[in-house]
Amino acid sequence: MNEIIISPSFKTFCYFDNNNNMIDITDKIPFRLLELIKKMRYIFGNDIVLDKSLITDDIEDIYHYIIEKAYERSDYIFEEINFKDKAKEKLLSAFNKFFFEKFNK
Amino acid sequence: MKTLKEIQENYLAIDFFMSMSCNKDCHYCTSYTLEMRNLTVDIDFLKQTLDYLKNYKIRVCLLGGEPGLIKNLDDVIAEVKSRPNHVCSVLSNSFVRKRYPHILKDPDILYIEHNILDFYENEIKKLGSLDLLPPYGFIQPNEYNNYNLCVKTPNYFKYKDNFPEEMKQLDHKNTMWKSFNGRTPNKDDVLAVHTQAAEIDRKMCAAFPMVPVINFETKKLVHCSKKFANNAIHSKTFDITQENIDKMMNFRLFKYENYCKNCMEWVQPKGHFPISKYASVLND
Repeated sequence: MNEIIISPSFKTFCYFDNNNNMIDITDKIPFRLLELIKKMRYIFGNDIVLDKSLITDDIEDIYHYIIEKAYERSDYIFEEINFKDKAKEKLLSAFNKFFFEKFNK
Repeated sequence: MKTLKEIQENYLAIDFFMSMSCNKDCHYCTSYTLEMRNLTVDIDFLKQTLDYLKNYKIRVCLLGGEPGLIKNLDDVIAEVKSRPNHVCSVLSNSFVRKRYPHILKDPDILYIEHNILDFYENEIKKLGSLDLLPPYGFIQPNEYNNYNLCVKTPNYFKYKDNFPEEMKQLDHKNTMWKSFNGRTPNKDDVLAVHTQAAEIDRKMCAAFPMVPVINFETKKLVHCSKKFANNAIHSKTFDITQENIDKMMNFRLFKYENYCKNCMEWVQPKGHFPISKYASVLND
């Protein structure tokens, strides 16, 4: 699975299988990852996407650390926060890397 | 005049160790020598360094050693203040107050006085000798951007409980409190106050420490100010070039090093920097 579809309410998570069937995987996502996804709304708003193709290798460690910190400490991100476009792009990549690594464990 | 909050939220800080010389020998400080040396700052080197930093919002922290010992401190400050992206900050053990009192009257200079050597159960041992100014000669509440910086040494908690009235006079809007840090050679002293920071916090600190250092004696860029260890520098160092400065400011120069793994420096568990600061400084 390379892309996960998030419902507008952030309550349902699905992917399309090879036959284009929509498979609900909400129950398969660990609680802490679900919480992280909700926190990420404060940064990405409705642009939040779970897509492996966004993962790139050339981003600075600090973006990975920010995501890990948000995962480790639930109050690290607690309100809407405006990153500049380039930083936001890198954060989205770091977030996807973190998510898929944890999810596939 | 920029407020302290504004500066803390929007500026990355860099320590300028102008000279290692100091007139005091605090037991938990590792970046000093009692030998008097290099007391005149090389202004050409300063200008070149500031040129490299000119595109970045930097709080330039002038210290050492003791900045009050620097003979051309006024020239150094004038140079820093001439740069629109920089905020000038001076950290002194109170010697600046004696030798350069006008600095305290300039609200565009963030003046921070580290005036307490130690808390004991029954007294405060001070660094300065300004006892005639009540109370104990500490910085008073003011609108000039002058602050006390008090390190909570191990007996701070006992003193606080024993002398609540005295504490009220010290604990005001122009006093910053700092947790006892990992610079002391005695790790038990640190462990008595706090445990080691979580790995993720040490990693975030490593990526851009509270204060990387420009060492004016070696003319090198130093990753971490905490690793001088009596002037035998353990921290990774770099040449001061435009390329390295750009890398540093874009979080590409500093890495999580071996010495970060056992570092006992206090890192705020809520985050090395708040997320709002990262939003402000990343890809500025």
